[in-house]
Amino acid sequence: MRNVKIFLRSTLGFCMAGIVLNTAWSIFVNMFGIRGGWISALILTGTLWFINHHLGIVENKKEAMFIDMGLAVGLCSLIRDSLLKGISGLVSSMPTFICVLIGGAIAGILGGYLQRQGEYKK
Amino acid sequence: MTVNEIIMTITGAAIFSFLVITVWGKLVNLFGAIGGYIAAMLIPGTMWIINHGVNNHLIKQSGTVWIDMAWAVGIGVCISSKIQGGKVTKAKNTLMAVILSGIIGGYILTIK
Repeated sequence: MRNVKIFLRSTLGFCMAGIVLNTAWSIFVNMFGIRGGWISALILTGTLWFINHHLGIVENKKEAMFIDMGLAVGLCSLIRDSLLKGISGLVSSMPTFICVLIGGAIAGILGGYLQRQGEYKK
Repeated sequence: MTVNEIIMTITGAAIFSFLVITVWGKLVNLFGAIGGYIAAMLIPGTMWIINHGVNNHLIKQSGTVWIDMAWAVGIGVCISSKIQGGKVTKAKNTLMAVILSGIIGGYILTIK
C-alpha cells in the first residue's frame, strides 16, 4: 500500500513537471522575446526542481538509479505531438530523437566517469 | 538531416546534459535550495536559448513532433548515476511513474 502511495506521488510530480514546463515556457518567451528563456528557466524549472527533487515528491532511493524529471518533460511533449500529428510525424522526428539520445549518452558516460573518479570534486 | 545538423544536434544535447550532471549537484551542495534555483536559471535558461531559442539553434527538428532538449538530460543523468553505482532494478517504480505520467500529461496537453 505504501508503495502505491509513493508511486502515485511520483506520477503526480512528473505529470506536474511535464504539463507546466511544456505549456508555460512559451508565455514568458512570447512576452519578453528570447530573454524570456532565462525567466522561464528560473521560475518554472527552478520551482519544479525544488518540488520534485529537493523536497522529494518524486521517489529516488539512494542506491537506485537517479531518474530526472527531464525524462517526463520530454515524454510529455513527444506523446502530445504524437497524438496530434499521428505516427508519421513521430517517424519523421526519429533522426533528431536518436541524435539527442546519443548526445545525452555521451555526456552521461563522460560525466559519470568524471564524478566517479572524484578528480573534479577537489 | 545533413551531417552538419547531426553534429550540431549531438553537440547541443551533450553540452546541456554534461553541464547538468557536473554543475547542478555542486551548486546545491554549496548553496542548498538557492543553489538549485541559480543552477536552474543558468543551465536550462542559457542552454534553451542556444538549443531552441536563437535563429541558428543547435538542436534541429527534423520532423513535426517536438523533441525537447530535456531528453538529453534525462538519459544523461540516468547513465551517469548508473556508472556511479545506481541499481536499475530499484528504480523501476520511478521509471513506471515516468511512463505513466508521460502518457497522462501528453493526453492532458492535447485537450483544447
